[in-house]
Amino acid sequence: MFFQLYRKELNGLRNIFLTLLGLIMGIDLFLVTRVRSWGYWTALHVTLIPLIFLLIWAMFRAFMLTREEWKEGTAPFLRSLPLSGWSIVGAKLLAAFTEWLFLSLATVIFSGLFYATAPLWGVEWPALPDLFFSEQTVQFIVVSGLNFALGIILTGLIFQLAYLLGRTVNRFNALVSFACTVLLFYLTAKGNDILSRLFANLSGISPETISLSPNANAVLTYLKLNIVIMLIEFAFLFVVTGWVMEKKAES
Amino acid sequence: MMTIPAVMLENVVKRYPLTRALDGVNLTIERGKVVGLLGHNGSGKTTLLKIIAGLRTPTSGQVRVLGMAPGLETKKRVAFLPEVNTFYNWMTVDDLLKFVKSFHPDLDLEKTAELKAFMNLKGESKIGALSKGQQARLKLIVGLARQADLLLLDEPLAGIDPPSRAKILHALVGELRQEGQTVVISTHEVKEAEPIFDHVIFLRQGRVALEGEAEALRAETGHSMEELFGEVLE
Amino acid sequence: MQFEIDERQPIYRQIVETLIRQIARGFWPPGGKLPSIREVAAAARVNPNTVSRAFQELERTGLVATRRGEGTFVTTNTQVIKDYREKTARALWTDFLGKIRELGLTNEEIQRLLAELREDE
Repeated sequence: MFFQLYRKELNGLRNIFLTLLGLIMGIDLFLVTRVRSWGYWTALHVTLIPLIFLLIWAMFRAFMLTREEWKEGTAPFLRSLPLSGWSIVGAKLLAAFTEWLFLSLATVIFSGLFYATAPLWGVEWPALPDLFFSEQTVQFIVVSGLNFALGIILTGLIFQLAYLLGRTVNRFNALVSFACTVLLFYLTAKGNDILSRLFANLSGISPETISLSPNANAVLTYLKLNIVIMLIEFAFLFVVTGWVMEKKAES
Repeated sequence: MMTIPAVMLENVVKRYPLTRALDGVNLTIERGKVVGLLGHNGSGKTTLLKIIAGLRTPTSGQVRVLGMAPGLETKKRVAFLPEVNTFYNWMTVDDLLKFVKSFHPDLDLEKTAELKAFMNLKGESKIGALSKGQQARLKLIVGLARQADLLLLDEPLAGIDPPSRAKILHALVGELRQEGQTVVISTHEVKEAEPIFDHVIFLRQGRVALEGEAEALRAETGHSMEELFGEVLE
Repeated sequence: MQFEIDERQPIYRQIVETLIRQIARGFWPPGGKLPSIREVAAAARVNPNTVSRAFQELERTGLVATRRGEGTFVTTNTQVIKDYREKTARALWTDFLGKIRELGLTNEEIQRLLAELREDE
């Protein structure tokens, strides 16, 4: 049943997905025409810029998918199906995440193609620095990737929860959602801080030690810890959001 | 063995910061009845149906649907069709039926084919392209094709052209209704709907102004439900 | 099969009365099958539950009997129908005569009026 719901969410965002995919391809094609005037290296870097946009976009997507149900008037129907609040919230998060994953992947693939076809533009094939392939770099990329991914899901969840809290009242919905967004971001940040201090006591790594001695291992450990912290926060917020979706929101 | 009523409400209150949508409602709806929930706009009909459907939680009071508190179990056995824009515009009629089928295995696909023919709807039509009346018919298809024990229809006649109303209403309680299904229909179009009601509930400002067996009310008062609607709710 | 329903009166009673009239008139002959509850509901455009109640009421008069799985049949006992017809006619007459007498007409005047009306036909 969760899968059917997830599939419905994916089908629902298909149009926007294709539009964005087209936009990314369009930017790449545009850059192809600019190789001569801007220089190959600049153009190659610009192909990765959509990644930043996608990161921000993805944070809002789960919330947008939720808001749409209320705006389009489909929320009563959806919530009259024998679905738990958690599966409704989870399907939207997962769909938003899938969209981000595939669009980011597409961006990277197109960028890779741009790189692979360098000789076509009369550029000597640029060698990637050795550093790129060191074990530490790979680890670093994986760990930061996970941090970004979890950050997106967590932010998406916060926006979703704030929106749903705005739906527990019959007036001033937007105002309540706004206040809840501010409050929830503060609480999550505060929670992150408290948890990281707690873990710092256990592991001896804290943000302060990193800023004092920015050595790669300490940063890596800190980022790994942050994953655990975000997972804990996610689990807690997810339980609350699903409950609000099932029991408290009004549609 | 005593049969469990389809719906039981005990002193149900739904309060909002500035208004009271329901102000102490007591109700029992017996199984197998066709019930008219009658009242003007803003009398609390929709809130009442949504509380029964499990979409809203009352501020206080007891709600029992098929003997249970509203929740996942009752949602499996209840079909609630809201008043407006119910479904996803980007789906086709058949997409929607497939979607509903994946959550409600009790949806009878043979019956949906029959209903589509009766309601004159094509499976491949996009829901967003349907007229208001066609959307209203689609809602009825989704509700009627299920073996749901309790069917809740919020203003099902809105958007349906007057000549079709009577035909659809009678099909609704007649050949289209599942055996023993309880149907609650909220409406303010009493004239067309009244011959199909076993039981009527007049709602006024969040309270039950009058309720009873339609036939008993006719015998007692010598009035039609339409006349009572005018008298009780003015 | 036609039903005129007045929503100000209990609908089941109007259905019972209509069916009794039709049986008395022989529209539904002795031993014949009555339409099903669903058919009557569709014709009268009312709830089948209401028609079902009307059928129960009708059975109580002894004019019809329901055979499980087969349907509802008019009694073959023509005497019952005849009795019922007379009983109903008598009730109508009593009602009618009561109203006429309230006008202060004597039996002779009533007889004369009746004879005149018959000639007019």
